[in-house]
Amino acid sequence: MTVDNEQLQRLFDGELSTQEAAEVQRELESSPQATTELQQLAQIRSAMQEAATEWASQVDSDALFGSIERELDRAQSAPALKVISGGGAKRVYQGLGFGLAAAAAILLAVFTWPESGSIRPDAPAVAVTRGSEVLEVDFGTNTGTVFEVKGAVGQPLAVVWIDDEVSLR
Amino acid sequence: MNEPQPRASKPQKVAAISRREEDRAIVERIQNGDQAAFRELFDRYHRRALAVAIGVVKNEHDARDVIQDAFVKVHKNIDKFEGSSSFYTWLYRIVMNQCIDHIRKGKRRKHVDFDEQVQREEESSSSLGATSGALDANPSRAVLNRELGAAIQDALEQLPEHHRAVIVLREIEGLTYEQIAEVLDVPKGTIMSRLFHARRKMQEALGPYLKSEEASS
Repeated sequence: MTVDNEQLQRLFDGELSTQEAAEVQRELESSPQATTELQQLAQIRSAMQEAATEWASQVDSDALFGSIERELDRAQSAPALKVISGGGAKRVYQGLGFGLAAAAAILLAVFTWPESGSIRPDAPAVAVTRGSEVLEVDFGTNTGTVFEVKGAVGQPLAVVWIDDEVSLR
Repeated sequence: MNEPQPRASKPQKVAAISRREEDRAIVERIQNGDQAAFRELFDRYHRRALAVAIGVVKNEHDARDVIQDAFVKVHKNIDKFEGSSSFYTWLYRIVMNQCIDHIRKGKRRKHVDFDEQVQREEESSSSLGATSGALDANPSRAVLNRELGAAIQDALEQLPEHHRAVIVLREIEGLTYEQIAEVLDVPKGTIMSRLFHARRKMQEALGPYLKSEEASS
């Protein structure tokens, strides 16, 4: 048996059973190249941990926690995202890509972000059911855009796209 | 020199379970409206999370933003945390998502205020002094370690973000393959593969320093 890369890595990371580790350790005795490899991995780990300790030691914890509290206070005191139901009136809203009311759009509360493509667990909740006519979307402290899209069977849907970055700053 | 790690021993497992239970108790207190408990949770994890974030976003100031945003998210979503995974796995998932968002949005600061720059330089020089002082017994090793530390940052910067995330979570935070897979939401085999390639690239980038250290020890 020779020590392959996967075994070496799993040994180094403590991912082998006691028996497997003992076998690989025995093989290492006759493999100076693998031993050197292991030493280098250990040097890198040690240097990374030292660097991380230094990085972490420089933080001003109270200042950082203070900034978190300020963000939370700001979020709590600011109006939350809400959808104002209604219909009939034609209005064009700031930041909207189209006149939302003109379509008397059915609002589908889909919240997503440009890069991730996935729905985040902390998306602001909006209690709107399918079929609601929407007069206005108040983004509160968030910014965003409303897009009109077609659903699977061609039905009109509005997607409210929240800019996550701005909402947290 | 670090030896290969054996699988977690019984005391280590007990400590991990104990930490998990303590975390859960703190989380429950927050869920019940105890704001002091949130500070407690922050104190338990913010330094470690910050080190991970610096390793991934490569910049201390951006990493602070990431940690700020991550803890704001933790606070906002703590009621949804049900404890099916450990708190720190959940936290690191949020931190890594924030890091990736941060990198992709190109939020790296373009300008640094003069005062801030002066402060950073002062912090930098004071930390150099502390490091040198601690290693006075072996000045050449102190210099080498400092160079290696700087080279580590450069080497990390050269890695693609998915490699950087894996190696930082493994080497700095010590997460198991399974935990990293949970945090990054990718299969364990992918984690092993990424880790292997990340380490290879780090070895290539740090080759001269690794040889020098060998020679000096």
